[in-house]
Amino acid sequence: MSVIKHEELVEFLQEGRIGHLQFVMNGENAQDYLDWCRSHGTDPSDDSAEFYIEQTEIDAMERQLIDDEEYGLWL
Amino acid sequence: MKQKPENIDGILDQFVKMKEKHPDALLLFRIGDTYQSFKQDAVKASTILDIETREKKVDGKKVKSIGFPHHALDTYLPRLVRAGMRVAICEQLEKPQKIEKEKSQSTTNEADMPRKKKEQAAQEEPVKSVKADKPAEEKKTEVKSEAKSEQSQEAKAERKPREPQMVTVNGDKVTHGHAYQSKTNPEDWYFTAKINGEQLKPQKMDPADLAAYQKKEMTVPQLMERYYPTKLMQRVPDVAFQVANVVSGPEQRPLTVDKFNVYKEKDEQRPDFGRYKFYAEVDGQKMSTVASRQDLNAYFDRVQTPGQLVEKNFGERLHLPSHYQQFRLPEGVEASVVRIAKDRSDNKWKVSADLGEHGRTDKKEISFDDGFALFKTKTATREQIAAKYLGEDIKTMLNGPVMSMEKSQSMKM
Repeated sequence: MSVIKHEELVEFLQEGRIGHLQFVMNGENAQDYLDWCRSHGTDPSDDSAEFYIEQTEIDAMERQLIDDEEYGLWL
Repeated sequence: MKQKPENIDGILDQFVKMKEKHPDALLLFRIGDTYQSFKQDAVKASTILDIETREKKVDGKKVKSIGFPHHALDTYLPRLVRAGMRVAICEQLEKPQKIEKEKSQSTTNEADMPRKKKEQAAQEEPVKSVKADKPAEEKKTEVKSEAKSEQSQEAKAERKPREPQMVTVNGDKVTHGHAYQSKTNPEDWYFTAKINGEQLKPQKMDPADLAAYQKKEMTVPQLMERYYPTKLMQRVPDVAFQVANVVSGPEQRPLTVDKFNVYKEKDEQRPDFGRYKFYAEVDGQKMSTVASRQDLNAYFDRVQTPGQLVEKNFGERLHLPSHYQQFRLPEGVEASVVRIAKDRSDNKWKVSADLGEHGRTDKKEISFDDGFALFKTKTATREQIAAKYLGEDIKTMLNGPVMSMEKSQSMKM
């Protein structure tokens, strides 16, 4: 359910129906983002939300590969 | 590399027995320093791995086989798995008494130590553990054959919480460090890990690092240092971001950092469109500059204070002494060889240095702010300006050939 919701949010963001701040605040990482803002002494904004996304976002396909412990090199 | 002698007597018998028990698995046998596959498995593996089959005499019979060095397993095994193959890896059995030992070990250990078996097999060769990828591991012929349900349980056991691969200076636990191949661009490999259970954004790997990792010459902590350096650095306290930072300006005048943040340039007309930039308000002045990836990470991971980032990114703009103090001429190069003058041809201020028998550097234009720091605020010296613009050139020329031409005239300010 959360994946679908995330995909919808991505779609909304790409269509310009929501901004980066709304994207983050409606996603799973809202609290983490707010904590990040607090610890950086900055107010939540579209700019900082865009930066936060850029630093943390992993696209769905990548996440699938990463989570597959039978894929890749685990030494 | 020292090759181990091949001992393949009886391997076909083992192959047949294993095939009876696991008809859907592709069998790879560890033989000496290689992994080998036979008969129909060799043909399948040949197609997937693009390795030619060869006719080999095994137990007096000619059979199709393929083989590759044991250290290439981590390259080839994922390919077989991705091609949908179920693979069983059979470590070679050499001494019967070791089977018994392994039997008892595997009975007691395998349920809770599935991944460690892989490491043990590499370290304690020729221990008889058998490793398999997808859906699970299998034991050698006589040792054990596991039912599929057991295999899936074992696979689940692998997903138990992991021991940290390292703990950072901040006490953060690093787990799940591994490399993986991109599916969209198979030539690209990425490194990723989790910190305190949070997935890090994957970083594209340098091919040399990937090769070193495959050969176990590079460890997860080393890759973390390479690809996530700021995640490992000591964080500065929150309070450093919540109170006004002060930097030392010209004549040691304190400059207050009133605001510091990051944004992406949205103006399509600007050459830095789409780049992330730092914005700062310092002592009433507003300024912005394109930020390096390193500094963006340092800001995001809170390992540098706004004051430190202002000094680094706006030091020239603010004519800060700390900015110029980082530049030094190589030892032996005196200030007297530096010339800073307005070029009559274009009316721009330029710096050059006469290195005597090593020649004269090109003239390089200096920025307005550096000129201001030199002539007005006097927070920069001629040596520092020369080192900033000509440092690399001077080093190269001093290490280069000595010029035999007559000594050129030095023009001083």
